[in-house]
Amino acid sequence: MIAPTTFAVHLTYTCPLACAHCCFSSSPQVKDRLDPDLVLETIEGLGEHGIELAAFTGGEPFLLGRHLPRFIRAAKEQGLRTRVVTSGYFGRTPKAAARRLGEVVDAGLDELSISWDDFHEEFVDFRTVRNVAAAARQFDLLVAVNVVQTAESRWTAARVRKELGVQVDDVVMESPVNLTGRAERELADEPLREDRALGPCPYVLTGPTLSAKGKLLACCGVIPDTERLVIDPEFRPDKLDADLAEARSSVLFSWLYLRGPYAILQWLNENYGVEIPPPELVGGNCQACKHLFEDPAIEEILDDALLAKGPEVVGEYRLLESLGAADPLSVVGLWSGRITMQTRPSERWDQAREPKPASSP
Amino acid sequence: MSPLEHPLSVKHGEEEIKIGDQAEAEQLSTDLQNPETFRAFAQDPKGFAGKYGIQIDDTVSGRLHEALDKADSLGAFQQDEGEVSCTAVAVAMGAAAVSDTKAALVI
Repeated sequence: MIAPTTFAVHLTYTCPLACAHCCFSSSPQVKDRLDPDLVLETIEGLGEHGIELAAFTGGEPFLLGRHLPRFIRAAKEQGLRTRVVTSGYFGRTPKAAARRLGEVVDAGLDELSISWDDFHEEFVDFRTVRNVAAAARQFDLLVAVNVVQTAESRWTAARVRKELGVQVDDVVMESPVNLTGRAERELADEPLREDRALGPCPYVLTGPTLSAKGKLLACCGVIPDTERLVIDPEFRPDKLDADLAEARSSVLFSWLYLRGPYAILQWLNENYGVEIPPPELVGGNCQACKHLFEDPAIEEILDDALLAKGPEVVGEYRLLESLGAADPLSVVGLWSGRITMQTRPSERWDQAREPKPASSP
Repeated sequence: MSPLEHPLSVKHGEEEIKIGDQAEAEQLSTDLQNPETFRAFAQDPKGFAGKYGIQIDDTVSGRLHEALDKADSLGAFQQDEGEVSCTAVAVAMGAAAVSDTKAALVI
């Protein structure tokens, strides 16, 4: 039903940093890492599934050294766009930044996503990020910076733009922190941003992930050990077709896609009387998912609920498809009061890259 | 993939949940192209879909009614407004922590 457009690979959960908000609790001590041959074989099968973009992330993907360019090259051979997500830790000097980026650019990298915020600042100097962003621009990479925030964060998208001297075409975005992984332990008392929203999950089934533990996950895997979100606990590339087909027929995944985890929690509360946290205590969709799948009282009734709700979930998806409104942006738009339709993710990127008129802000 | 290529069922465990049938689904897609029928649908999405064997709940029915009320036809409804910024959408969705972005930074 819902087709994947992005395939993410968590190459490793090892990271030179150990940020307080990290949902994977990554650090230099964490050793989970995918076998490079498994990664290559997986990538070589992606082109047959209509997937448009391969995202290499972690942990820190640049720790994979010479393997990272191999993965990118393999993805390009499949006709995919490629993205690497990094803290940019390697860019202590302009020369070092250019050298490491040059390796992946030569392999065909299209997009570089830099994670930067108060939490990263404890481990990486902003000059490093500036070096990496500058080198990326020299290579004509599309640069994106993601700033994770609490209500009291010092780093904002506006500040990043100002201090980075960001060009119009670059993307700087803010994301409210979700209290999962290490954040659940270390940021429990931090005030959450008020403008966070809970809604349909546009990533489930549109962006499956191969975790660094070798599991195929239905979404981007912020809570990677959650059994309900695992499509295949022992993934093999030759099973990708069957795994994705099975996932597409899941009531749970379709429901998460159409309404999101907090709406499911509300429905369970209304129909089964289970207690749920008030929305102001939930940092975002992933934190809502964590509650949905970790509360034993909910686990007890969830299968019954999925069977009961199934016909309406299928009906809703079916109807939205008939309206041409079943793509992620349209589904999200429906619940945020805006309808934006028929625009695919890659087109958004392409639009971002189109030269702007001189008068553009 | 055309909507009509999708299965009219989903699975949960061993249970298969079916809805409607292929002929009814095709008829719905066809009928929604007709502005007059589309207006009838927009007034009562749940009741209209029910005639084609499609169940939806009151919440989405109300939401669709609200969204479609001012559209004269399916074509008008489907026009891409093209104004929602990547950031706005991502934030509106409560995009999570770093790794949400790691998988799909911009949708």
